[in-house]
Amino acid sequence: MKVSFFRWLLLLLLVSHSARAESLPQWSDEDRARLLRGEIIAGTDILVEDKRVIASLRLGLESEVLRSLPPELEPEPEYDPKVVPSEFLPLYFTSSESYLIDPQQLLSNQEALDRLGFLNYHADDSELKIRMYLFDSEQNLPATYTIEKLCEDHYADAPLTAIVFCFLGNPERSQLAFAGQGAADVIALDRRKMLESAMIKSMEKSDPAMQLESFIVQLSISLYWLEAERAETLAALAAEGSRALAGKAWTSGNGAGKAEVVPVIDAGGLSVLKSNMHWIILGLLGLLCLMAGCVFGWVMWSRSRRYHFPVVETPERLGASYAAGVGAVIAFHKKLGSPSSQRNQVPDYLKRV
Amino acid sequence: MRRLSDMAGALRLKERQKLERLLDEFQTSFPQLFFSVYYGALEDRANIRQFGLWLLNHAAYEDLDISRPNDGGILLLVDLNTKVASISFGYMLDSFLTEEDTFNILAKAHPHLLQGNHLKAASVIVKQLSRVLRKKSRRAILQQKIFGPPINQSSGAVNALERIRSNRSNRSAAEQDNFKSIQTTRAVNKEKEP
Repeated sequence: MKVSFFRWLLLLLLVSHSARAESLPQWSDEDRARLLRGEIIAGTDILVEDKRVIASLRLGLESEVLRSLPPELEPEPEYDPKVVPSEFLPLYFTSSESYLIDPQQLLSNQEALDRLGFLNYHADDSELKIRMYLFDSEQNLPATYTIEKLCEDHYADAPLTAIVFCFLGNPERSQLAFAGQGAADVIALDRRKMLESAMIKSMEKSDPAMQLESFIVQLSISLYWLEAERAETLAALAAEGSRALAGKAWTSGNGAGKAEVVPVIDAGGLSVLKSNMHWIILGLLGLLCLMAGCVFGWVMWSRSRRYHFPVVETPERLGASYAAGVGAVIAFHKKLGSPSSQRNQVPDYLKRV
Repeated sequence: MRRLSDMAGALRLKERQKLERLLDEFQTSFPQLFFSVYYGALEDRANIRQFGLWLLNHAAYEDLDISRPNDGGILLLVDLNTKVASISFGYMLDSFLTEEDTFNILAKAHPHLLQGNHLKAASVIVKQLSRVLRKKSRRAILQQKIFGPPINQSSGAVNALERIRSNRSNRSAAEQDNFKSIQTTRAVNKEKEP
């Protein structure tokens, strides 16, 4: 029993030693680092026996292969959907000629072209341009980059422009501001109404691109009315100014010829028409009087006109010395007997025959 | 008699005054002519045409100048008994007014005559007649300017007669020979007759 126990113990020791002797070689930390860097190729010692070849191979590897490897790339920072990447921020906050500013290329090429096309069309048609800045739905701007700052920095001297920050797929976050000359005249209430109507219109659509399209269209409509209102106000102001100048010139007496004509800026045909309405009415009245005078004159002339007949001597007929011309006879005793039924009358003597 | 004779009492006093004003205006426009209206109640057997012809030839209008003879008169005759209206006119208008013209004028006034609105009917007739006469006068004056003064119808008729006669003489020689031969054969036949 004791002999068998020792035998088993001896066997166990032998197995464990052989297992330890046959285990795979371990990489030292230094070799592992070199392997990761590509300085050594695993298995070259086994595959190539000649030491000189190995040495030359190592040299070649070091000079060609390792040098051609790309330099180590810095790991990309993780994309945060709530932050505008810092490299794009300067692109947003610089003056741009385009009406659609989308440095992150959130829209596809075709969508961007479509939106830009509409913005260009609006710009051609209207004096109030739209500059649209596109951000992703969840992106937040740093506190130093605001729409107000953008307006002050880049559009202060420009003509009146509507600056819009649009968050793609999230129209509720849209921002609208007016920059340039006359921006202070646009009251906040109007601005809010415009923004709300555009937001409501865009929320009717589900696709972010379509939302953007609806937003722009509605904003363009609102801006048209704002522009018309502004033109009317300016025309009224201009007319008032010209009246005041005319009054001033009139009271001064000698400055009538020097009175400056105040140009009607941005005034449409309607405003010009309204300002000259009294002249138009006077002109129409004059024309009416002239026409009435002409008609009256023509009536008077025709009444006073005398009509003569050439005297033709005709032989007497039926022994009548003055008249033998008997005209038509019409009977009006029967209501059913129309004049047309009496047209071809036969004289009585023929009837008797 | 007067230009407006209302024997049947068809018009009121005011209506008569209005109608007389209308007749005055007509006379002003046509210095050679006058318009006369006669409202009467004739007998059933009377012929309104004959009566109109007789009246215009025999009437002596006391409210008219001598410069306006009955030749230039136009008479509107309305018989309220037989409900018939007629227009007669003098020799001066013979060449300018036709029966169709006068019928059209009367037809325009027919609805007012049916309603018994005689003033309206008379005024319509006067206005329509004035319109027609104005046209005729303008045309006649224009024709006179282009073609010269009109030829008197009497002389014209004589001329026409002469022309017809002369046409006979202007027949072709063959026709004339034929005519002569017929005449000679007739004469021979007459001689042969017992």
